[in-house]
Amino acid sequence: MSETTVHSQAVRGTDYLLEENHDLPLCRVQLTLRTGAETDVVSDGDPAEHPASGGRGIIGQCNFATELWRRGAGGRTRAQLDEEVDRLGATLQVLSWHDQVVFEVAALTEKIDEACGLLADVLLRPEFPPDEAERLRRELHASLDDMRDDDSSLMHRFFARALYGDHPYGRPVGGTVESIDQLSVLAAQAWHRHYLKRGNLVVGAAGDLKPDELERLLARHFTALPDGPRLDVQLKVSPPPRGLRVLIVDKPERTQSQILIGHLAPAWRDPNYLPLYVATTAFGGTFTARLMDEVRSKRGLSYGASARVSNGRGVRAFSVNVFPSAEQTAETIELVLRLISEWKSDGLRPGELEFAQSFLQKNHAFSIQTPEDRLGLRTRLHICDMPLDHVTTFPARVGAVTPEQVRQALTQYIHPQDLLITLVATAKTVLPALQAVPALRDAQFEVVPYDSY
Amino acid sequence: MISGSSANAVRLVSEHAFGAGGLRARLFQLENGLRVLLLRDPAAPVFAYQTWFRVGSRHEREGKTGIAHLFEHLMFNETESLPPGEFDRQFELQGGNTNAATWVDWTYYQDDLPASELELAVRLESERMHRLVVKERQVETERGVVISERRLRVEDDVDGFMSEELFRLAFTAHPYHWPTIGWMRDIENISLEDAVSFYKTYYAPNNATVVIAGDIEEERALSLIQTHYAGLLPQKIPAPALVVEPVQTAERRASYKKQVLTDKLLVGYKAPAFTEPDHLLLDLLSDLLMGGSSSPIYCDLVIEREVMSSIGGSVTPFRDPGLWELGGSLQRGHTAAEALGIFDEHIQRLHRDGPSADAVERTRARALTGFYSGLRTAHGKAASLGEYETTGGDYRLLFGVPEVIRRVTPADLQAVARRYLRPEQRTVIIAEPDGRPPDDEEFDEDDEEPGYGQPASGSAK
Repeated sequence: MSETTVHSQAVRGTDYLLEENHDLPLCRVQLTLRTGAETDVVSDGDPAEHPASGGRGIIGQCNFATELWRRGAGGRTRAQLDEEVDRLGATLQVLSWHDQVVFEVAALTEKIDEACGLLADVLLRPEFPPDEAERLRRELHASLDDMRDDDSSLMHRFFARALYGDHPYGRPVGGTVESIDQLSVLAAQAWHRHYLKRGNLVVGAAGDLKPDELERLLARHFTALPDGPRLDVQLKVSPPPRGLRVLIVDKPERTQSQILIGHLAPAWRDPNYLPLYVATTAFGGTFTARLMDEVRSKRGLSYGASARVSNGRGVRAFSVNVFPSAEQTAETIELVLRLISEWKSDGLRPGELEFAQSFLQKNHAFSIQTPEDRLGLRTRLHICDMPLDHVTTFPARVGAVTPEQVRQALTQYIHPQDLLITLVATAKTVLPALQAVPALRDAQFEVVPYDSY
Repeated sequence: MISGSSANAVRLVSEHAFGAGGLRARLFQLENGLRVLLLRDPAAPVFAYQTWFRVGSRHEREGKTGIAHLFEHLMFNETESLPPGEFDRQFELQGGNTNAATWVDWTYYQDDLPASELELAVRLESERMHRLVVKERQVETERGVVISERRLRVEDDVDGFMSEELFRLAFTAHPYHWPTIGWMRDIENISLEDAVSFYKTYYAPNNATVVIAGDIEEERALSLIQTHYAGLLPQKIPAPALVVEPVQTAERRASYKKQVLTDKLLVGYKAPAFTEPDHLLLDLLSDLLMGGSSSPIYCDLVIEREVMSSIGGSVTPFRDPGLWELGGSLQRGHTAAEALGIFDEHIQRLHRDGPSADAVERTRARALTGFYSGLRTAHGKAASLGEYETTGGDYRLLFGVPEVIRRVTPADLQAVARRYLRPEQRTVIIAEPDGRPPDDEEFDEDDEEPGYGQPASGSAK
């Protein structure tokens, strides 16, 4: 494996990342915007850029704008672009997240030059055809319909809204039924003008490319990137909600409940993140961790049981996911609440810390197994302002986490009394049993239809 | 180097270059029948260790469906030297990931580990191949877990439900009729005796191939394999029932009211077995028609007419003839019948005119990229080798795929369309929003109770 960071002359001083591997004739080139859906709704926006909302912006704006770039560019219609991409056997993707948008092409080495030409058209010469904007709005509505067929996706959507509230992470990247109809070409064009700046991009490549070959690709296709600074917004931290809340996303005929239990957790770059991450891995991050052992192995309540701390630029979530039968929903939630309380009050059991450290240290090899993995991780580190040596220092830093740091993290960041419990279930089946759970005696219950958001 | 017939009873059966980078895949066999397929690839300090057993749901019978999959769960439990949970624990302690999958023709167990842990993988995989402990309590616990998995994948998942129904209707005699996860009533009735008998019958060295790909030393790997597997005794493996599915002579259709917001459509045409040359051609045709944004059926139904929000297809990689499955979701205001009508127009045109040379060229390029993309990781390499060796009978078939892709012609694909895309040989499953008044009288409403589902692919442990 060979990693390189090169100060590129081709794109006027922009550093780019390269992960070389010449075993297979495959290449990937990525340009990642440091701005994502977090900018969709702003408190101090410019009415000229968000005319439909008086300057506040519209949920789904980033996704709509960047996807529209893909729908006609460089003198080609969407159909012509699709044909060209297919002719090359390439993929050309635009992937929007809350804190980044990835533009990437992947192709056989012999086709990567032409593929980069198409990517450059999408980035630099989008045409924003109005008919494609109309079509995209209809597709976004259809994707909401499809999402509602998937209980796990529903669970995550409602959980995020209830957990983050007005924070950008609470807003769906793709928009809502109401917001999709407000998305406009004018705002998409403004988004392109405002955010596509050289300093707002992380450039990278992986696979069968050498530094000079990549340099030539960048020189040929991306020198016209406009100057400008990085534009990622500072994410404010919302005050965490207090008290136990039970949100039932009511969907008929469920034999099983999809459940997500959690609350806010520190951001990835917070010094307390790592001890909490290690503690959470010990609690529910592996197949033999405490949570899986208690829920699945001992009781057979759920096919899966896991806990995680997600990462991003801003404050994200600690969460536990289980999916028991409708009849065993109350029993399972009661058990998970008890396990979280014990975890916080009693800390890790003997051997759990060492086990989690060993697992994380050695499993790290799989996070950086392929050139694409390494490029993805290094790009993410840039986006999230993480130390760039994380790729190499992670195992040692995990090994240095002390029992005292874990205790402090659990004390400071795990709050069993302030958990949000979101479940996609049939309310009339599960609600009476949940209301009878002693641990939920003081909880606030809310039932919402599954197609309401 | 251990090779040839004289060195420690490990026989080199065959070898083949793997890509252009100097890698070689080599197949060995122990005297007890165990096959060992090695690929040394030091690209990353990890390796994949996979054990492919030639047993799946096709080896079951009515009343005992689901036992191959339930047994896969039991394999993670207890052995004579490892208490419950310790198997996974030891792997995770070393940073490894373990999992397994069961499908119609095979069950495979996978360990992904850091390069330093080869001995652990060989020792523990050998242990559970012949020293597994199966008790009543374990069967009961895993029964509950499998029921939970079935609810996740079938009862509460409309796509899983439709897939199960498709195979149930399409196959009337062949074991592909029942779902790999098993009918719920059968899962509830699998006994300890069933599980023990299944283990003794099918989990034997002569019914398995061990595939190791990644950062390993071949000589050391063979030495460890010899140490830990050579003492295992072969078993007499019953031949699977040779059931020939009767030729389908009329289209079969069923529609169901489900908790969906729009119609969903799933179609299965009878398709060739994995080893037949037509299999790859039909797969390429499927990709040509729906695999990319410019593919004619995808483009027409999803982009141009906006009748569907998604459509995709693939050919089942089964040892016996299976299905070309295609399906997707309708947009609001459109019906599955409407989409099927448009689809049929494309197929008729394909029969008459064949695909365009441009479309074939695009398919070639896309298929080659996809082929190589699947081989990027040690895990991907091992899985491809294992599947071709187990389902196809020879891992070397894998290396012929790029050449077939490069040489395919429009005439090849037109011919395969005429052979397989025949309306009388298809089964159609439709899910409609619950509560909508029935208005599709041309569909034969199936009067059977909805069955229970088969995942579209194997299921994890």
